[in-house]
Amino acid sequence: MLGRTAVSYLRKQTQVHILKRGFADQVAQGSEKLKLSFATPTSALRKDASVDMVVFPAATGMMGVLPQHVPTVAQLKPGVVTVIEEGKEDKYFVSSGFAFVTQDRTDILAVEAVRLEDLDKEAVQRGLSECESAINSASDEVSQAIAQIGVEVHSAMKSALES
Amino acid sequence: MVQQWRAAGLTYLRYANICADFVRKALKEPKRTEALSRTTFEMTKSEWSEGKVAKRESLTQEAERNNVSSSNK
Repeated sequence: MLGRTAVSYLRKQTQVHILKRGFADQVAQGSEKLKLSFATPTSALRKDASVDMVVFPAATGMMGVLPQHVPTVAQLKPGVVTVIEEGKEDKYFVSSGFAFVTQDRTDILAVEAVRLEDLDKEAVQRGLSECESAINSASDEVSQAIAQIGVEVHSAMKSALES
Repeated sequence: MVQQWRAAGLTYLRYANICADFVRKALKEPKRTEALSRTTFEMTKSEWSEGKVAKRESLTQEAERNNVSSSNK
């Protein structure tokens, strides 16, 4: 009786230990691939795909995630998500959302994600100048803020297309 | 640092949707039309009396229209 309790207690303890990973812990060795899910509310661009690396635009800066990355949650800002698998790069533009990096997988949830080549360079340029002029002509704080967001989003799309 | 949209009283949800809207509008055709049509929705409000529809009105996207200022076409 006591033995069984002790075993189940120990098992619980080990489980907790496995699930937790700190900055100083050693990375488990092995042939590792990153399990990635990348989705918008209307589509799944990757579902439990095995990839080598994913780079996404976190609010604090670009973030590259390799297998066994330290768990984290990051807010996305408008920018390019690069999925690297089998030596090939796949680029998407995301508007906003969140990325969840857990021990065994990474989930990127974006409000809108489009292939970079689907963006229209001229429309981006046009939108940028429209938003820039709208900042000055905005009558209230809200429409000014929306124009400001527009400038940021279009600038991000522009630099994404130029790189 | 507080972002400007936050200071202006926009919520994160609205900010995220505005960002997404700008991206959709910068798409090439036909993806643009396709993406934009996904975001529109319609609602109708019907009042029933004695088992019949007495009054039916279409509800416009109030919040959506407020989002889209003249600058944000």
